[in-house]
Amino acid sequence: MIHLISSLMALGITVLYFIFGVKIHRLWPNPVTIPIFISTIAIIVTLLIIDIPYEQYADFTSFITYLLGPATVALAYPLYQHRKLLVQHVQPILFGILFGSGMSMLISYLFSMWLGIPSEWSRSLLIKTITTPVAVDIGKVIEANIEVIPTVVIVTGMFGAMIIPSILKLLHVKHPIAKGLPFGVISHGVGTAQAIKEGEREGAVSGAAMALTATIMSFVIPILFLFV
Amino acid sequence: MQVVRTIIQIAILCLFYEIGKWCTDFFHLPIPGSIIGMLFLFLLLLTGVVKEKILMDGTGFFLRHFSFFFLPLSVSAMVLGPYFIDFGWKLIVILLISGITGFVATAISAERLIRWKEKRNHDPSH
Repeated sequence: MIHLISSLMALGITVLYFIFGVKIHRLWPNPVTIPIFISTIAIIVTLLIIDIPYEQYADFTSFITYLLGPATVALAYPLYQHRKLLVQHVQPILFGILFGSGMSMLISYLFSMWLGIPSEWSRSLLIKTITTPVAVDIGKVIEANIEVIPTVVIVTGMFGAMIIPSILKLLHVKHPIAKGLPFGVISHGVGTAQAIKEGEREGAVSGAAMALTATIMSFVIPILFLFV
Repeated sequence: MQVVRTIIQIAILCLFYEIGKWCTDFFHLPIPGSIIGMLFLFLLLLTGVVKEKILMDGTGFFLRHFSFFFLPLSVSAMVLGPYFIDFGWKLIVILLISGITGFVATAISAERLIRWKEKRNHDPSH
């Protein structure tokens, strides 16, 4: 009974904070005020103040996290609606995924070596561009630090949602395929949420890219580590 | 009516997710259940078994509020706190630099390739 009440309260607070986040973002539209970012900060501060550990909050709100599954299934719709566009540009999509995630992994690896990050940590950083459930599975295979993977993945996603729109403007990237790709390839789910806001086609590309990146990398990375 | 319809369709999407998870477990696939479920639904749409209209409200609901469902997971950033004292700025530097490299490399390579292909197709000399 107490668990149910606490759980409902945690769900209520989460919804309420997110609605506030949306309102604030409407008042001050700015990359730093995207709803997921400010509501995350607000919830962390609240949990620290009332002294509730993250594990407990995660347990209370597991219903929301469960719905991430069916939400991902829903991506089949934009994928279906824009299937012609995706098939037509299959080469740039595949190339963008391989080159983009490859470069990100390489830079991550080189900087970890240079800055002297312990190897189980650098391995977690290496797989940060893969959607959480897959990243955790790959992390087990390559002996990465499992407990920090969701966090590193989400931080990367949030950072992408905040900064990719400005990067696209700066680089004068205009094609909807090229615009949607970096969201899905590097910033997976959170990035895709932002890509949907950029446009329907961008959202479809991002969703497809997220699925493809996860699929391709779950084969490539374990094989790569056989040789390291 | 709209609300009831949306809830029923969300339940159907959950069913697809459960089927996907079951496939992942049963066949020991390295791909998460949600992605399997998505591909499965995509296949049914392609073959016309599932009509586009049937799940329109449910998928619309999820796509409109997509980022909300990541909120509890993103709060997990608070567990980085203690590690932050050990590594601190190094982690931030790696996350930022490798992230930006990835965004730029993906966008630029795709855009260049698309433009190159369009140019080649429109060029009458080829």
